[in-house]
Amino acid sequence: MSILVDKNTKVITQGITGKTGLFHTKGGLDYGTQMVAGVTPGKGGQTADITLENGETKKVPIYNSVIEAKNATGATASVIYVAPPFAADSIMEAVDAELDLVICITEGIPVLDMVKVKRYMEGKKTRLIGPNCPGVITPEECKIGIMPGYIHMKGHVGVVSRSGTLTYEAVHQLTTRGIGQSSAVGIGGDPVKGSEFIDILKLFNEDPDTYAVIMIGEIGGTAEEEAAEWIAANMKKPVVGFIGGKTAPPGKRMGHAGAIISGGKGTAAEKVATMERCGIRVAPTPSEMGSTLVAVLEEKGLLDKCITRK
Amino acid sequence: MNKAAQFMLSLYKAFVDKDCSIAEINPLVVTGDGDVMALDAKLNFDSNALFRHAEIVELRDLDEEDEKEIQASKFDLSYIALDGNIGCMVNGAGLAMATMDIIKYYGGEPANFLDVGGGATTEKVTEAFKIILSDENVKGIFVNIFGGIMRCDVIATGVIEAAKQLGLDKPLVVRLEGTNVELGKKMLNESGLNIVAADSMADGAQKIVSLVK
Repeated sequence: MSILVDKNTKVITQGITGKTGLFHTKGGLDYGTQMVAGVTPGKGGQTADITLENGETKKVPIYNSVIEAKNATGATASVIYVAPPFAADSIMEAVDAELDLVICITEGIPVLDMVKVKRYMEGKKTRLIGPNCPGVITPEECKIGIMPGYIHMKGHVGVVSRSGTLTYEAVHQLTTRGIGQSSAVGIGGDPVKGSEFIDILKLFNEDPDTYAVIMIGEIGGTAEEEAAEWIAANMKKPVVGFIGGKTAPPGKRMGHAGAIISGGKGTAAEKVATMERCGIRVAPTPSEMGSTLVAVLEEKGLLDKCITRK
Repeated sequence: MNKAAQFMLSLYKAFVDKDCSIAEINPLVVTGDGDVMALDAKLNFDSNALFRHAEIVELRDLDEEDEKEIQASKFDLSYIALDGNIGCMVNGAGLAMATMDIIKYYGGEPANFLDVGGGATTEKVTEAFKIILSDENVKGIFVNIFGGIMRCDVIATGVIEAAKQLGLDKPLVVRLEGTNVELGKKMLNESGLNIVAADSMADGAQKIVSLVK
Protein backbone atom coordinates (compact mmCIF):
# COMPACT_ATOMS: atom_id res chain seq x y z
CA MET A 1 0.00 0.00 0.00
CA SER A 2 0.91 3.62 -0.30
CA ILE A 3 -0.91 6.92 -0.55
CA LEU A 4 -2.28 8.89 -3.51
CA VAL A 5 -0.64 6.91 -6.32
CA ASP A 6 0.34 3.32 -7.09
CA LYS A 7 1.20 1.07 -10.01
CA ASN A 8 -2.37 1.23 -11.32
CA THR A 9 -2.51 5.03 -11.51
CA LYS A 10 -2.95 6.33 -15.05
CA VAL A 11 -1.61 9.82 -15.58
CA ILE A 12 -2.21 12.67 -18.04
CA THR A 13 0.47 15.31 -18.63
CA GLN A 14 -1.03 18.80 -19.05
CA GLY A 15 1.42 20.81 -21.12
CA ILE A 16 3.07 17.75 -22.68
CA THR A 17 4.43 19.57 -25.73
CA GLY A 18 6.51 21.99 -23.65
CA LYS A 19 10.15 21.15 -22.98
CA THR A 20 9.65 20.50 -19.26
CA GLY A 21 6.43 18.53 -19.72
CA LEU A 22 8.01 16.29 -22.33
CA PHE A 23 11.22 15.75 -20.33
CA HIS A 24 9.42 14.67 -17.17
CA THR A 25 6.84 12.58 -19.02
CA LYS A 26 9.82 10.61 -20.28
CA GLY A 27 11.16 10.45 -16.70
CA GLY A 28 7.83 9.02 -15.53
CA LEU A 29 7.74 6.45 -18.34
CA ASP A 30 11.35 5.42 -17.64
CA TYR A 31 10.35 4.83 -14.02
CA GLY A 32 7.44 2.66 -15.09
CA THR A 33 4.62 5.13 -14.47
CA GLN A 34 1.58 4.79 -16.72
CA MET A 35 1.81 8.13 -18.51
CA VAL A 36 -1.16 7.44 -20.79
CA ALA A 37 -1.91 10.78 -22.43
CA GLY A 38 -0.98 14.39 -22.85
CA VAL A 39 -3.03 17.56 -23.22
CA THR A 40 -2.09 20.60 -25.27
CA PRO A 41 -5.00 22.62 -26.68
CA GLY A 42 -4.77 22.75 -30.48
CA LYS A 43 -2.51 19.73 -30.78
CA GLY A 44 -5.16 17.05 -30.27
CA GLY A 45 -4.72 14.05 -32.56
CA GLN A 46 -0.94 14.26 -32.61
CA THR A 47 1.34 12.05 -30.52
CA ALA A 48 4.35 12.83 -28.39
CA ASP A 49 6.98 10.33 -29.50
CA ILE A 50 9.30 9.63 -26.60
CA THR A 51 12.39 7.44 -26.80
CA LEU A 52 12.99 5.79 -23.45
CA GLU A 53 16.30 4.90 -21.80
CA ASN A 54 15.78 1.27 -22.80
CA GLY A 55 15.58 2.27 -26.47
CA GLU A 56 11.85 1.68 -26.79
CA THR A 57 9.74 4.47 -28.34
CA LYS A 58 6.40 5.36 -26.75
CA LYS A 59 3.77 7.25 -28.68
CA VAL A 60 1.79 9.20 -26.09
CA PRO A 61 -1.51 10.44 -27.58
CA ILE A 62 -2.24 14.17 -27.28
CA TYR A 63 -5.75 15.55 -26.69
CA ASN A 64 -7.17 19.07 -26.81
CA SER A 65 -8.73 18.84 -23.36
CA VAL A 66 -8.40 16.93 -20.10
CA ILE A 67 -11.91 15.50 -20.33
CA GLU A 68 -11.17 14.02 -23.78
CA ALA A 69 -7.93 12.53 -22.50
CA LYS A 70 -9.69 11.08 -19.46
CA ASN A 71 -12.54 9.57 -21.48
CA ALA A 72 -10.16 8.01 -24.00
CA THR A 73 -7.70 6.52 -21.50
CA GLY A 74 -9.40 6.08 -18.14
CA ALA A 75 -6.78 8.25 -16.45
CA THR A 76 -7.52 9.35 -12.87
CA ALA A 77 -4.62 11.74 -12.30
CA SER A 78 -2.88 14.57 -14.08
CA VAL A 79 0.38 16.46 -13.71
CA ILE A 80 0.65 20.11 -14.78
CA TYR A 81 3.72 21.69 -16.39
CA VAL A 82 1.81 24.61 -17.90
CA ALA A 83 3.34 28.13 -17.71
CA PRO A 84 2.29 30.26 -14.68
CA PRO A 85 -0.20 32.61 -16.43
CA PHE A 86 -2.28 29.61 -17.60
CA ALA A 87 -1.65 27.09 -14.83
CA ALA A 88 -4.63 28.07 -12.66
CA ASP A 89 -6.98 27.49 -15.61
CA SER A 90 -5.33 24.11 -16.20
CA ILE A 91 -6.01 23.09 -12.60
CA MET A 92 -9.66 24.11 -12.91
CA GLU A 93 -9.96 22.20 -16.18
CA ALA A 94 -8.70 19.05 -14.44
CA VAL A 95 -11.18 19.65 -11.61
CA ASP A 96 -14.00 20.00 -14.15
CA ALA A 97 -12.95 16.69 -15.69
CA GLU A 98 -13.40 15.17 -12.20
CA LEU A 99 -9.96 13.63 -11.94
CA ASP A 100 -9.15 12.21 -8.49
CA LEU A 101 -5.73 13.81 -8.26
CA VAL A 102 -4.04 16.82 -9.84
CA ILE A 103 -0.38 17.55 -9.22
CA CYS A 104 0.77 21.02 -10.23
CA ILE A 105 4.54 21.39 -10.62
CA THR A 106 4.44 24.94 -12.04
CA GLU A 107 6.25 27.59 -9.98
CA GLY A 108 5.21 31.23 -10.11
CA ILE A 109 1.40 31.19 -10.18
CA PRO A 110 -0.05 34.50 -8.87
CA VAL A 111 -1.35 34.08 -5.32
CA LEU A 112 -4.77 35.52 -6.13
CA ASP A 113 -5.15 32.99 -8.97
CA MET A 114 -4.64 30.23 -6.42
CA VAL A 115 -7.17 31.85 -4.07
CA LYS A 116 -9.73 31.56 -6.89
CA VAL A 117 -8.72 27.97 -7.59
CA LYS A 118 -9.13 27.03 -3.91
CA ARG A 119 -12.62 28.51 -3.82
CA TYR A 120 -13.49 26.82 -7.11
CA MET A 121 -12.41 23.44 -5.76
CA GLU A 122 -14.63 23.59 -2.66
CA GLY A 123 -17.03 20.64 -2.68
CA LYS A 124 -15.40 19.06 -5.75
CA LYS A 125 -13.93 15.57 -5.70
CA THR A 126 -10.46 16.43 -7.00
CA ARG A 127 -7.46 16.61 -4.68
CA LEU A 128 -4.72 19.08 -5.65
CA ILE A 129 -1.05 18.70 -4.71
CA GLY A 130 1.10 21.80 -5.23
CA PRO A 131 1.64 24.13 -6.99
CA ASN A 132 5.39 24.79 -6.92
CA CYS A 133 6.14 21.25 -5.82
CA PRO A 134 8.27 18.29 -6.97
CA GLY A 135 5.29 15.91 -7.15
CA VAL A 136 4.42 12.55 -5.60
CA ILE A 137 6.20 9.21 -5.76
CA THR A 138 5.36 5.75 -4.55
CA PRO A 139 8.74 4.05 -4.94
CA GLU A 140 9.04 1.29 -7.50
CA GLU A 141 5.43 1.86 -8.61
CA CYS A 142 4.62 5.36 -9.75
CA LYS A 143 6.56 8.60 -10.09
CA ILE A 144 4.65 11.76 -10.97
CA GLY A 145 6.79 14.87 -11.03
CA ILE A 146 10.37 16.02 -11.24
CA MET A 147 12.07 14.09 -8.43
CA PRO A 148 15.00 11.76 -9.22
CA GLY A 149 13.45 8.30 -9.06
CA TYR A 150 16.57 6.28 -8.34
CA ILE A 151 17.19 7.69 -4.84
CA HIS A 152 13.92 6.16 -3.62
CA MET A 153 13.29 2.67 -2.30
CA LYS A 154 10.03 0.89 -1.50
CA GLY A 155 9.23 0.70 2.19
CA HIS A 156 7.29 2.03 5.16
CA VAL A 157 8.28 5.62 5.93
CA GLY A 158 6.15 8.45 4.57
CA VAL A 159 7.75 11.77 3.66
CA VAL A 160 5.87 15.06 3.34
CA SER A 161 7.59 18.36 2.64
CA ARG A 162 7.26 21.96 1.47
CA SER A 163 10.66 21.75 -0.23
CA GLY A 164 11.73 19.61 -3.19
CA THR A 165 15.46 19.34 -2.55
CA LEU A 166 14.98 18.76 1.19
CA THR A 167 12.64 15.89 0.31
CA TYR A 168 15.40 14.38 -1.83
CA GLU A 169 17.86 14.94 1.00
CA ALA A 170 15.58 13.13 3.49
CA VAL A 171 14.79 10.28 1.08
CA HIS A 172 18.48 9.83 0.30
CA GLN A 173 19.34 9.68 4.00
CA LEU A 174 16.67 7.00 4.46
CA THR A 175 17.58 4.89 1.44
CA THR A 176 21.30 4.85 2.31
CA ARG A 177 20.27 3.47 5.73
CA GLY A 178 18.18 0.74 4.10
CA ILE A 179 14.92 2.41 5.10
CA GLY A 180 12.41 2.47 2.27
CA GLN A 181 9.54 4.90 1.73
CA SER A 182 5.83 4.21 1.33
CA SER A 183 5.24 7.47 -0.54
CA ALA A 184 6.97 10.86 -0.69
CA VAL A 185 4.80 13.92 -1.22
CA GLY A 186 5.98 17.47 -1.99
CA ILE A 187 3.14 19.79 -1.04
CA GLY A 188 4.94 22.82 -2.47
CA GLY A 189 6.46 26.13 -1.46
CA ASP A 190 3.60 28.50 -2.27
CA PRO A 191 1.50 30.20 0.42
CA VAL A 192 -1.82 29.07 -1.09
CA LYS A 193 -1.77 25.44 -2.12
CA GLY A 194 -4.02 22.47 -2.73
CA SER A 195 -2.97 20.21 0.13
CA GLU A 196 -1.50 21.08 3.51
CA PHE A 197 0.55 18.89 5.85
CA ILE A 198 -2.57 17.74 7.71
CA ASP A 199 -4.24 16.44 4.52
CA ILE A 200 -1.23 14.24 3.77
CA LEU A 201 -0.64 13.21 7.39
CA LYS A 202 -4.23 11.92 7.52
CA LEU A 203 -3.52 9.69 4.53
CA PHE A 204 -0.29 8.36 6.03
CA ASN A 205 -2.10 7.76 9.33
CA GLU A 206 -4.68 5.61 7.54
CA ASP A 207 -2.21 3.76 5.33
CA PRO A 208 -1.43 0.39 6.95
CA ASP A 209 1.92 0.20 5.17
CA THR A 210 3.26 3.48 6.56
CA TYR A 211 4.85 3.02 10.01
CA ALA A 212 6.40 6.47 10.54
CA VAL A 213 6.53 9.88 8.87
CA ILE A 214 9.10 12.60 8.24
CA MET A 215 7.56 16.06 7.95
CA ILE A 216 9.76 18.82 6.53
CA GLY A 217 8.61 22.40 6.95
CA GLU A 218 10.10 25.83 6.61
CA ILE A 219 9.53 29.41 7.72
CA GLY A 220 6.31 31.23 6.81
CA GLY A 221 2.68 30.60 7.66
CA THR A 222 1.39 28.35 10.44
CA ALA A 223 0.87 25.03 8.62
CA GLU A 224 3.53 23.26 10.72
CA GLU A 225 1.98 24.41 13.99
CA GLU A 226 -1.48 23.30 12.87
CA ALA A 227 -0.08 19.96 11.75
CA ALA A 228 1.74 19.51 15.08
CA GLU A 229 -1.48 20.06 17.05
CA TRP A 230 -3.26 17.63 14.76
CA ILE A 231 -0.52 15.05 15.23
CA ALA A 232 -0.69 15.35 19.03
CA ALA A 233 -4.44 14.72 18.91
CA ASN A 234 -4.73 12.11 16.15
CA MET A 235 -1.55 10.57 14.82
CA LYS A 236 -1.00 6.93 15.68
CA LYS A 237 2.48 6.79 14.18
CA PRO A 238 5.74 8.51 15.14
CA VAL A 239 6.54 11.72 13.28
CA VAL A 240 10.00 13.26 12.96
CA GLY A 241 10.40 16.81 11.72
CA PHE A 242 12.76 19.38 10.33
CA ILE A 243 12.26 23.12 9.81
CA GLY A 244 14.37 25.10 7.34
CA GLY A 245 15.11 28.80 7.71
CA LYS A 246 16.36 29.23 11.29
CA THR A 247 18.80 31.86 10.02
CA ALA A 248 16.43 33.56 7.56
CA PRO A 249 16.10 37.33 8.05
CA PRO A 250 12.56 38.60 8.68
CA GLY A 251 10.63 40.21 5.82
CA LYS A 252 12.63 38.48 3.06
CA ARG A 253 11.12 35.87 0.78
CA MET A 254 13.55 32.95 0.81
CA GLY A 255 13.11 31.61 -2.73
CA HIS A 256 9.73 30.01 -2.09
CA ALA A 257 6.81 32.43 -2.30
CA GLY A 258 5.53 31.13 1.04
CA ALA A 259 8.85 31.20 2.90
CA ILE A 260 8.72 34.57 4.60
CA ILE A 261 8.66 35.72 8.21
CA SER A 262 6.13 38.54 8.21
CA GLY A 263 5.15 40.69 11.16
CA GLY A 264 7.36 38.48 13.35
CA LYS A 265 5.18 35.43 12.54
CA GLY A 266 6.23 32.18 10.94
CA THR A 267 9.69 31.83 12.49
CA ALA A 268 11.50 28.51 12.66
CA ALA A 269 11.86 28.82 16.44
CA GLU A 270 8.08 29.06 16.94
CA LYS A 271 7.48 26.06 14.70
CA VAL A 272 10.13 23.88 16.33
CA ALA A 273 8.81 24.77 19.81
CA THR A 274 5.24 23.83 18.90
CA MET A 275 6.32 20.62 17.20
CA GLU A 276 8.43 19.52 20.16
CA ARG A 277 5.61 20.34 22.57
CA CYS A 278 3.38 18.10 20.46
CA GLY A 279 5.77 15.16 20.71
CA ILE A 280 7.52 15.49 17.36
CA ARG A 281 11.28 14.95 17.46
CA VAL A 282 12.87 17.72 15.36
CA ALA A 283 16.24 17.15 13.69
CA PRO A 284 18.73 19.86 14.67
CA THR A 285 20.29 19.98 11.19
CA PRO A 286 19.17 18.83 7.73
CA SER A 287 21.98 16.24 7.84
CA GLU A 288 20.31 14.53 10.78
CA MET A 289 16.79 13.92 9.44
CA GLY A 290 17.64 10.25 8.79
CA SER A 291 19.50 9.63 12.04
CA THR A 292 16.76 11.35 14.10
CA LEU A 293 14.17 9.06 12.54
CA VAL A 294 16.35 6.01 13.21
CA ALA A 295 16.66 7.00 16.89
CA VAL A 296 12.88 7.37 17.22
CA LEU A 297 12.19 4.10 15.38
CA GLU A 298 14.61 2.29 17.69
CA GLU A 299 12.89 3.66 20.79
CA LYS A 300 9.51 2.56 19.43
CA GLY A 301 10.79 -0.86 18.39
CA LEU A 302 9.95 -0.14 14.76
CA LEU A 303 13.41 0.02 13.24
CA ASP A 304 13.61 -3.61 12.09
CA LYS A 305 10.18 -3.37 10.47
CA CYS A 306 11.26 -0.23 8.60
CA ILE A 307 14.54 -1.57 7.24
CA THR A 308 13.61 -2.92 3.85
CA ARG A 309 17.15 -3.59 2.64
CA LYS A 310 19.82 -4.94 4.99
CA MET B 1 -19.71 55.94 8.09
CA ASN B 2 -20.80 55.51 4.46
CA LYS B 3 -17.63 57.17 3.29
CA ALA B 4 -15.48 54.80 5.32
CA ALA B 5 -17.30 51.78 3.87
CA GLN B 6 -16.88 53.16 0.37
CA PHE B 7 -13.20 53.70 1.10
CA MET B 8 -12.66 50.14 2.30
CA LEU B 9 -14.45 48.67 -0.71
CA SER B 10 -12.16 50.70 -2.95
CA LEU B 11 -9.13 49.49 -1.05
CA TYR B 12 -10.27 45.90 -1.54
CA LYS B 13 -10.81 46.51 -5.25
CA ALA B 14 -7.35 48.04 -5.59
CA PHE B 15 -5.83 45.06 -3.73
CA VAL B 16 -7.45 42.52 -6.03
CA ASP B 17 -7.10 44.46 -9.29
CA LYS B 18 -3.40 45.10 -8.80
CA ASP B 19 -2.47 41.70 -7.30
CA CYS B 20 -1.27 43.21 -4.03
CA SER B 21 0.28 41.16 -1.27
CA ILE B 22 0.00 44.05 1.20
CA ALA B 23 -2.16 47.18 1.06
CA GLU B 24 -1.57 49.08 4.25
CA ILE B 25 -2.93 52.52 5.10
CA ASN B 26 -1.51 54.39 8.01
CA PRO B 27 -2.63 56.97 9.02
CA LEU B 28 -6.23 57.08 7.91
CA VAL B 29 -7.93 60.32 8.90
CA VAL B 30 -11.38 61.87 8.97
CA THR B 31 -11.14 65.51 7.94
CA GLY B 32 -13.02 68.39 9.54
CA ASP B 33 -15.72 68.25 6.88
CA GLY B 34 -16.21 64.49 7.25
CA ASP B 35 -14.09 63.12 4.41
CA VAL B 36 -12.12 59.88 4.86
CA MET B 37 -8.60 60.17 3.58
CA ALA B 38 -5.41 58.10 3.41
CA LEU B 39 -2.39 60.18 4.38
CA ASP B 40 0.13 57.46 3.68
CA ALA B 41 0.06 53.96 2.24
CA LYS B 42 2.30 51.00 1.58
CA LEU B 43 1.55 48.61 -1.25
CA ASN B 44 3.41 45.39 -1.96
CA PHE B 45 2.76 43.49 -5.18
CA ASP B 46 2.86 39.77 -5.91
CA SER B 47 5.95 39.40 -8.09
CA ASN B 48 4.40 36.32 -9.73
CA ALA B 49 1.58 38.52 -11.06
CA LEU B 50 3.73 41.30 -12.53
CA PHE B 51 3.37 39.82 -16.02
CA ARG B 52 -0.14 41.29 -16.12
CA HIS B 53 0.76 44.67 -14.59
CA ALA B 54 3.20 46.43 -16.90
CA GLU B 55 2.19 49.73 -15.26
CA ILE B 56 3.56 48.53 -11.92
CA VAL B 57 6.76 47.11 -13.39
CA GLU B 58 7.44 50.58 -14.81
CA LEU B 59 7.50 52.00 -11.31
CA ARG B 60 10.35 49.73 -10.24
CA ASP B 61 13.28 51.78 -8.97
CA LEU B 62 16.49 49.77 -9.23
CA ASP B 63 18.34 52.31 -7.08
CA GLU B 64 16.29 51.11 -4.15
CA GLU B 65 17.43 47.51 -4.49
CA ASP B 66 20.56 45.56 -3.64
CA GLU B 67 22.82 45.54 -6.72
CA LYS B 68 23.73 41.89 -6.28
CA GLU B 69 20.07 40.93 -6.01
CA ILE B 70 19.32 42.78 -9.27
CA GLN B 71 22.20 41.04 -11.03
CA ALA B 72 21.00 37.68 -9.74
CA SER B 73 17.44 38.26 -10.95
CA LYS B 74 18.76 38.83 -14.50
CA PHE B 75 20.08 35.28 -14.53
CA ASP B 76 17.03 33.81 -12.86
CA LEU B 77 18.97 33.17 -9.66
CA SER B 78 17.31 33.68 -6.33
CA TYR B 79 19.80 35.61 -4.17
CA ILE B 80 19.46 37.41 -0.85
CA ALA B 81 22.39 39.22 0.75
CA LEU B 82 23.14 38.54 4.43
CA ASP B 83 25.81 39.72 6.87
CA GLY B 84 28.15 36.73 7.20
CA ASN B 85 31.35 35.67 5.43
CA ILE B 86 30.54 32.25 3.96
CA GLY B 87 29.08 32.44 0.47
CA CYS B 88 26.56 29.70 -0.36
CA MET B 89 25.53 28.26 -3.69
CA VAL B 90 22.76 25.69 -3.48
CA ASN B 91 20.06 24.17 -5.68
CA GLY B 92 16.55 24.45 -4.31
CA ALA B 93 15.10 27.04 -1.95
CA GLY B 94 14.56 24.63 0.95
CA LEU B 95 18.06 23.21 0.72
CA ALA B 96 19.51 26.74 0.37
CA MET B 97 17.81 27.81 3.60
CA ALA B 98 18.87 24.62 5.36
CA THR B 99 22.46 25.19 4.19
CA MET B 100 22.51 28.61 5.84
CA ASP B 101 21.14 27.00 8.99
CA ILE B 102 23.77 24.28 9.11
CA ILE B 103 26.61 26.77 8.60
CA LYS B 104 25.30 28.74 11.56
CA TYR B 105 24.86 25.51 13.56
CA TYR B 106 28.57 24.76 13.19
CA GLY B 107 29.57 28.27 14.25
CA GLY B 108 29.83 30.09 10.89
CA GLU B 109 27.86 32.97 9.39
CA PRO B 110 26.27 32.68 5.92
CA ALA B 111 26.88 35.63 3.56
CA ASN B 112 23.87 34.94 1.40
CA PHE B 113 20.96 32.80 0.33
CA LEU B 114 21.40 31.61 -3.24
CA ASP B 115 19.21 29.14 -5.11
CA VAL B 116 20.60 28.35 -8.57
CA GLY B 117 17.44 26.44 -9.43
CA GLY B 118 16.92 23.09 -11.05
CA GLY B 119 18.54 23.68 -14.42
CA ALA B 120 21.86 25.22 -13.45
CA THR B 121 24.08 25.57 -16.52
CA THR B 122 27.79 26.40 -16.54
CA GLU B 123 26.84 30.00 -17.32
CA LYS B 124 24.47 30.21 -14.37
CA VAL B 125 27.00 28.68 -11.98
CA THR B 126 29.63 31.17 -13.18
CA GLU B 127 27.26 34.09 -12.67
CA ALA B 128 26.37 32.78 -9.23
CA PHE B 129 30.08 32.69 -8.31
CA LYS B 130 30.56 36.25 -9.61
CA ILE B 131 27.69 37.52 -7.51
CA ILE B 132 28.86 35.73 -4.38
CA LEU B 133 32.41 37.04 -4.86
CA SER B 134 31.26 40.61 -5.46
CA ASP B 135 30.40 40.65 -1.75
CA GLU B 136 33.63 41.83 -0.10
CA ASN B 137 32.82 40.08 3.16
CA VAL B 138 32.98 36.63 1.58
CA LYS B 139 36.00 34.66 2.80
CA GLY B 140 35.02 31.25 1.49
CA ILE B 141 32.32 29.49 -0.53
CA PHE B 142 30.24 26.41 0.20
CA VAL B 143 28.60 24.76 -2.80
CA ASN B 144 25.89 22.31 -1.78
CA ILE B 145 24.14 20.56 -4.64
CA PHE B 146 21.74 17.66 -4.58
CA GLY B 147 21.81 16.85 -8.26
CA GLY B 148 18.60 14.99 -8.78
CA ILE B 149 17.69 15.44 -12.38
CA MET B 150 20.81 17.55 -12.88
CA ARG B 151 23.98 15.46 -13.20
CA CYS B 152 26.87 16.02 -10.80
CA ASP B 153 29.46 15.95 -13.61
CA VAL B 154 27.67 18.88 -15.27
CA ILE B 155 27.75 20.81 -12.01
CA ALA B 156 31.39 19.93 -11.45
CA THR B 157 32.19 21.27 -14.94
CA GLY B 158 30.39 24.50 -14.08
CA VAL B 159 32.20 24.89 -10.78
CA ILE B 160 35.61 24.20 -12.33
CA GLU B 161 34.99 26.56 -15.27
CA ALA B 162 33.79 29.31 -12.96
CA ALA B 163 36.69 28.91 -10.53
CA LYS B 164 39.20 29.03 -13.40
CA GLN B 165 37.55 31.94 -15.16
CA LEU B 166 37.36 34.01 -12.00
CA GLY B 167 40.77 32.99 -10.66
CA LEU B 168 39.17 31.92 -7.41
CA ASP B 169 41.63 32.37 -4.55
CA LYS B 170 39.33 31.69 -1.61
CA PRO B 171 38.54 28.37 0.06
CA LEU B 172 35.89 26.42 -1.83
CA VAL B 173 34.11 23.43 -0.33
CA VAL B 174 31.86 21.42 -2.62
CA ARG B 175 29.32 18.86 -1.54
CA LEU B 176 27.80 16.95 -4.43
CA GLU B 177 25.17 14.27 -4.21
CA GLY B 178 23.04 12.59 -6.84
CA THR B 179 23.43 11.29 -10.38
CA ASN B 180 27.06 10.65 -11.44
CA VAL B 181 28.36 11.81 -8.05
CA GLU B 182 31.58 9.76 -8.26
CA LEU B 183 32.45 11.22 -11.65
CA GLY B 184 31.72 14.73 -10.38
CA LYS B 185 33.97 14.30 -7.34
CA LYS B 186 36.73 12.83 -9.48
CA MET B 187 36.59 15.81 -11.82
CA LEU B 188 36.86 18.23 -8.89
CA ASN B 189 39.80 16.32 -7.42
CA GLU B 190 41.64 16.18 -10.74
CA SER B 191 40.98 19.81 -11.68
CA GLY B 192 44.17 20.99 -10.02
CA LEU B 193 42.11 23.62 -8.25
CA ASN B 194 42.05 24.06 -4.52
CA ILE B 195 38.63 22.50 -4.05
CA VAL B 196 37.74 20.58 -0.89
CA ALA B 197 35.23 17.81 -1.48
CA ALA B 198 32.71 17.08 1.27
CA ASP B 199 30.80 13.85 1.87
CA SER B 200 27.67 15.33 3.42
CA MET B 201 26.07 18.66 4.24
CA ALA B 202 27.35 18.46 7.80
CA ASP B 203 30.86 17.56 6.67
CA GLY B 204 30.89 20.41 4.14
CA ALA B 205 29.57 22.96 6.61
CA GLN B 206 32.18 22.01 9.21
CA LYS B 207 34.96 22.18 6.62
CA ILE B 208 34.07 25.63 5.29
CA VAL B 209 33.57 27.00 8.80
CA SER B 210 37.05 25.88 9.85
CA LEU B 211 38.60 27.15 6.59
CA VAL B 212 37.35 30.72 6.96
CA LYS B 213 38.33 30.99 10.61
